[in-house]
Amino acid sequence: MTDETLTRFKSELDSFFVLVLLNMVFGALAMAFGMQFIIASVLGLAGGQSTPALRILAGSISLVGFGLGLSWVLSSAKILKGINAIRREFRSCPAPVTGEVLTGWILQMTAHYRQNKKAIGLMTRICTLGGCVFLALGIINLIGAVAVWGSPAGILVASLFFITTAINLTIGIASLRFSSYFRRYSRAWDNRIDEVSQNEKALHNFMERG
Amino acid sequence: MGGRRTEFEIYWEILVFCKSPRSFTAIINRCDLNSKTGQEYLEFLRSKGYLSLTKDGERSTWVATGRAHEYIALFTEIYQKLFDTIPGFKL
Repeated sequence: MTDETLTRFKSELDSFFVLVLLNMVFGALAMAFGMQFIIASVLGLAGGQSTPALRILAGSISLVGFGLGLSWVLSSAKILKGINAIRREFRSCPAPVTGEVLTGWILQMTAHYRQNKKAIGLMTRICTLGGCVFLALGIINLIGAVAVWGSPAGILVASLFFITTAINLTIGIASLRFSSYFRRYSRAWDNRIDEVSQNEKALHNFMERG
Repeated sequence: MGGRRTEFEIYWEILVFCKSPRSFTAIINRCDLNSKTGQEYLEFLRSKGYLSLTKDGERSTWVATGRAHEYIALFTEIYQKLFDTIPGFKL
């Protein structure tokens, strides 16, 4: 049983590590692009663009995106710290891994989930919200691209809008995907925590007997 | 090992660590407990026959008994099953 359990444990540990790491990268990207779009919107306003209302809207949403990106990175860093400690211990352990060592790691993961349940829940919501914000930005920039398409500024400005749209949509879709992965991870661990609670009765009875 | 643990998880950690004789300080450091709760856990496990205390002059050590191995085995089985029976997470 230990070998199969070990394989499953390793796979889950690696998957979650990659998810949190990628999530952190996208959080940083969201922050960076949020800031960039704020500046671009302000510069666009100062330059007397033909669609100031659209620029103000894009600037406001970018500000929200920047704030979300910041909390996104901070939450990811908190979760990553705990998971990285378990992963380091796992990688430095010489084979063969005994059942007790494996159980110790499972216990650490369980304790990590209990401790970070709220942060993971927050992460899920931030990803969903961040995804929606960047999708909205993408749509606004797409409208901007269409609006300037026929203007004297021509194809160059429209192309820049299209590139921005592509970046926004990529971050938005990735964020929504991440939020669904976080939900799946939480579901798996909530089931495990329930199972632990149900088995506490058996452990209690065992402890108390004779 | 820190984080949020149940009392049964802490018992397991103490018993596994005490497979070899251990001092009180070593136990509370390893299991991330304070002196007061550490003493309570050890006394509980001793009262139930899972730990025994040996005094050798000034030095006292705690060691797991045969009954502790049964608890360790049951606990190990339950926790490993978490990864065997419940669908896990994979990217």
